[in-house]
Amino acid sequence: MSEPDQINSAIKNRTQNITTEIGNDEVGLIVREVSGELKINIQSRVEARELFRNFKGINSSSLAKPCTFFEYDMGRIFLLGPYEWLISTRNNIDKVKTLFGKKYVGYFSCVDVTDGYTELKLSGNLLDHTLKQSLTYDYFALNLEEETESFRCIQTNFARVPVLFWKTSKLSVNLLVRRSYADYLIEWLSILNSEEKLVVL
Amino acid sequence: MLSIYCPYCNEMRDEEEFSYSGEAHIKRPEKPLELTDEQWGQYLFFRKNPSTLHAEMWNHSSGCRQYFNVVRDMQSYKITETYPIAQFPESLDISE
Amino acid sequence: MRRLNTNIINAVNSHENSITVNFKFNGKIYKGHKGESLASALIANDIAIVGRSFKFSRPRGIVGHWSEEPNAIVQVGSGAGTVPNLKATQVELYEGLEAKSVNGWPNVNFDLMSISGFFERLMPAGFYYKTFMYPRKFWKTYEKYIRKAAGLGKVPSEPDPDFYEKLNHHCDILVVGAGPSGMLAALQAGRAGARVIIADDQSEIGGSLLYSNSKIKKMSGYAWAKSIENEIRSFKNITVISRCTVFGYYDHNFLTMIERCTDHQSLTSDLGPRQRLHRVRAQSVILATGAFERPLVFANNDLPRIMLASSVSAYINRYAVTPGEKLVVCTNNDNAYKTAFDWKSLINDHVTIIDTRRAVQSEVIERAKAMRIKIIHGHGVIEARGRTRVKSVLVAPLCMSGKEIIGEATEIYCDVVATSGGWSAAVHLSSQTGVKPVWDNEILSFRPGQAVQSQKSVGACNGSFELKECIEDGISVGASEAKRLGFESGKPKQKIDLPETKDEHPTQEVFCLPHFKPLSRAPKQFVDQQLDVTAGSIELAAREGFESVEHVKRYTALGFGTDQGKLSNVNGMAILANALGKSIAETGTTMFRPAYTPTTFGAIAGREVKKLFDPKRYTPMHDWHLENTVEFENVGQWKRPWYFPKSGETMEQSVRRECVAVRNSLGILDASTLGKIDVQGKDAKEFLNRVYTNNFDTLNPGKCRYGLMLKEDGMIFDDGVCACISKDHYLIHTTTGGAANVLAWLELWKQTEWPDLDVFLTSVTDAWATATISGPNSRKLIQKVCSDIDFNNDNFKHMEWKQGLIAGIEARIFRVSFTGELSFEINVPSNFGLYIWNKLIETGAEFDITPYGTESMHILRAEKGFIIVGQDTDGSMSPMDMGMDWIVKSKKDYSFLGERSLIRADIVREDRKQFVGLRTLNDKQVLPEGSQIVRSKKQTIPIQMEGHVTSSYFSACLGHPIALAMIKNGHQRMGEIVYSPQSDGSVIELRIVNPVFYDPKGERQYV
Repeated sequence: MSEPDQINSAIKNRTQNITTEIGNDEVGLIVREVSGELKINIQSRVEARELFRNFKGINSSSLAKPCTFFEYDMGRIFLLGPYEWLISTRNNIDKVKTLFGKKYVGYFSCVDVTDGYTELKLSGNLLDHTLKQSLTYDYFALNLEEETESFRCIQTNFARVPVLFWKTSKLSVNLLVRRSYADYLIEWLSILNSEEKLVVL
Repeated sequence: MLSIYCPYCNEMRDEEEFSYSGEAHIKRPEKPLELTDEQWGQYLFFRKNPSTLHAEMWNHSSGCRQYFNVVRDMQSYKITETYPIAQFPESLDISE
Repeated sequence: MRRLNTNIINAVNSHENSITVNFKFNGKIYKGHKGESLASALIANDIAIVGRSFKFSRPRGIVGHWSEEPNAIVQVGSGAGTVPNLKATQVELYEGLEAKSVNGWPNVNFDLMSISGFFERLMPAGFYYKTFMYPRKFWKTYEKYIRKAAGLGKVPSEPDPDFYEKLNHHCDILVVGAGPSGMLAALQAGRAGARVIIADDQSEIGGSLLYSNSKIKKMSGYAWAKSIENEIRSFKNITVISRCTVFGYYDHNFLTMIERCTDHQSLTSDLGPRQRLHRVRAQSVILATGAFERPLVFANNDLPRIMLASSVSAYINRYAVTPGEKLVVCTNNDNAYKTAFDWKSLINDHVTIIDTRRAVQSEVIERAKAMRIKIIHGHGVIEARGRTRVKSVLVAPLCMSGKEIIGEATEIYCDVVATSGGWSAAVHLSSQTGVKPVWDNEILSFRPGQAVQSQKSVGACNGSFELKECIEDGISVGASEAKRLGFESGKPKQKIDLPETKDEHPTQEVFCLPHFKPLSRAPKQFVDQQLDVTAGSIELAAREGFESVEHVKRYTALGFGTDQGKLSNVNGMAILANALGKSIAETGTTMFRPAYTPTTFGAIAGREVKKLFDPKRYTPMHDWHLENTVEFENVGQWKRPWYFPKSGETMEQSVRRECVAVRNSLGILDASTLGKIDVQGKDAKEFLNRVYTNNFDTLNPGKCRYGLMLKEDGMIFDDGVCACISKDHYLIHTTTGGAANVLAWLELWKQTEWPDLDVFLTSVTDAWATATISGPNSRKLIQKVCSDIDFNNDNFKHMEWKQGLIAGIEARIFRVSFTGELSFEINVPSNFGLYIWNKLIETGAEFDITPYGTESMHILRAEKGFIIVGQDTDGSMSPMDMGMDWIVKSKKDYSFLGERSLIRADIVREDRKQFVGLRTLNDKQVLPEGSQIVRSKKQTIPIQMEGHVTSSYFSACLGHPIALAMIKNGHQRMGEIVYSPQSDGSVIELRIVNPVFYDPKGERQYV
């Protein structure tokens, strides 16, 4: 019997329809699946600085700013709500649990939700037109160049499906969507950009 | 389509990101089993129905998933304030 | 042909790339110019009758030049792309355009329906309400004929071949209308650095400057507009969208507008969207929507070639066509004199001005005299004459107020009448926000009322009808709004050439001109041409007691047409006010609602059609399902396999085979869609005790329990298995469709009522894939794939769970059963779902493993009397109703949600509907779900209803039909015979039985 496919993505079937090369001006929208990092949901009413005290490379004031994310030495942390974070990390879950220690056991939750999400990176010269059709959020001021320590991320609806969304560069955005919606999202993006203009990697 | 300020995300967002959750500041009775049917019925079924300002709960369902309170004019739909759960409004007296 | 030879700068066809095109109107081919309106081309080809009126079938012609047009309603194209009820004034010509009048049979020139004209007397206002009432049973017959005679246009009968886009915009300032005031407002705001969007519904921006022969200092108004446009387009922060109508103004400065992308090029679109819906959220809205000229109302004013004065100018200046040879201008204001000047300079000398006002010293009169144009002061047109087009007008002297005739009438021959009764500000969008417009007697127009949103009106729509005022308004409001939002450019205000102010002799307060005969005997005076509403019918409505303007509108149908009363509202209100002896301000006006003009449904739907109608959710095993011939069912947004037919099988055959296979050997079900919520925290147990009816104190790690959730009214809300993972850590399951609602409910209580509890809820529905194997051979299969768990019955009991490795993958295995057979639910992280499923199928082949879908799943659980929340319950059933008293456990510290309601008088009364099973007596018929149950065959109406059928199937395992139902006091009526009348008149006989049909002792799941 064959070995399990470690990255068995939700949109595997769609990746077979590559019709144009990247870098070609003809391409309107490029969609890449991003994988390799664990996604861990943390919830607690313990003060953030205390809760994350053992995490290295964190600017603790960033932990409480709504709609932001920041890097730390093993990945990044997204603030989803006043008492909820999402850690995206290369570490494994047991190591992460050790970092929280035993002090607050029972006062926080730590759940591995990696398989529940699909992360996509969108870029290309039709990105702006695609976002205008898919988002009701005003992403115009989403990433100001002055930001260095923390970056804006928002939870909103994309093609009527809830996503976590952030800009990764001037010309690209990332989004995190529930695995079960991933295929529909790709379908949405391909219908919005006619077949020749969409590349899925 | 309303534009609502989420007091946790600190931003205005479109109504599509939220779900409406009924009248605000309704406290569950401490000892339900000691109430009469009428008293329990009051808590279950009776709601204010003002034609002016109304304090109501909304949930940021596509966003931070937090519940919060809103005071809204029931005729013009103008929102006078939004504030976190467990706090009280300034533009409305909710004592009755 | 009526085309002018002179080179007019504004004219569409004087551009370098003016192309001649062929088009068809009412079956005949004509020539026109690309880009001109269909109306203009019809005038150029000397076509006067373009339609027939709605009620009286009178011949009608073109009245206006844009969206105010009431008569020239056409059907464009045929087949899938056809569009009904477009105004010929707004249809841009292209090669091969085909258009037809929407009414007039056999054709507009000879319409049989005009016979109804003879019965005009018998068709007053309220005609439909009064006439076809009795005898009542003939209404069906009347209706058939009314439908044939009424209505405009034909809807397409094939699917729309085009697609539409929807875009979302945010901006600081939205400017609606790109006429002089709008353009300057956008320019000032853009210069200050604000994000500006400016939208205009014409193909070119410039508004009224496109249609008139104005002069701004030395430049023509048109050239001046073009220079402003160039500057606007040089700013990156200003977005200009033309051919774009703002049709709706909603809450909190949210507006919608439709951009017509290809309607001016072809019938359907070959490339790109046909139209776009733009949804805009603006910090500030500047309305620059202009004003509509209104006609004067007089007898026979509906004859073809009686047009608005500014429209006659528009056809001359913008399209270089003339509607005729001899013009009479009938006016009560100075503005209409411009039409006479345009005619005299560009067409010929045959023009006469009939001014209802007495002569005064004024600039326009001086100019008219200098141009040798004849003016008849103090007179009005009281009747127009002609049959298929106007031939002459009767002109009579009027008293000072214009309400009475004071002398003999003279007949003047003409073939075009340009009428002007003044201007009405376009207050529609500001009114859509709920603000009643206010009548201003100074300018004889409505003005926008006090704004309730962040909005300003400028220019003509705010009552400034002078060009200079419009421009100044635009400049000042554009700058002030930008400043208010924090934008200010350091640069000094650029000097803009302003036109000179003109002295204006005020408009006279005359709306409807008198006639010699009394109104009821005079020839009809039309107020609303599209709906055939006359001055007489409005007065009749007033006499019959309709005093509110809202009532009069509905009773007479004033303003109901596709022109939405743009030319008739104010005149109608003035006539009503006069009839009631009130002022216009007292009479008021009706409210305006979106859409401002008719709007395409397809654009509102945008991309959310067909495949994108609703988001779809797929399980990790979906690819396998697709390859294995399955039919899908929609459960919420999920696609779940419904049944797995083998080649040639019907659904019935497939489902029977699947059910039998599960009970005899082994079946496998994709159960990944069920909601799964991780509940953790030191107060997790207390939290579960409060939200479920069960007591979780005794649920230890490794154990599972079926839980029931109620709303505070005691009704069943959701159910599912709850497993204790470890101390303070639980995993609860919900129904597929209820998952999101349950999480929202739990969060509501956690956040608002119990914030002191340390409990945390994380949705893991998508994170786990679930394959359920069920049947006597399920243990054998799972032992083959999982080596590190002892599956023997005494070690792994029913309602327990264990962790282990399945084919090398970490899995959680729950021994729970929804089929009543020995059953294991295997959970693995979603990325391995498909892999594990394939392994199970492969290994299970030796037991003839049978994939089954939701249909079989429903039948198998029904055979065991297991409820499905949302199928057998509908939010009005308590646990006791369903025979589940055993699951309700009072807890010591806190009264769980819904507990108090379970002892309400209404919940404990005797005749409540209760959950039972039903067997058909003949054991052959499958009862339709939803069937009603009655006590006896012989009853008179009203028949007492005993209950209804909630689930009904044919059970292959038992060999007969089974049904589940809710019947009054059902638990006490076991064995009783009841009946179910069907819609075809038959009656099915039934016996009430225990809902557990198969394996009544429930032994099979414990093996």
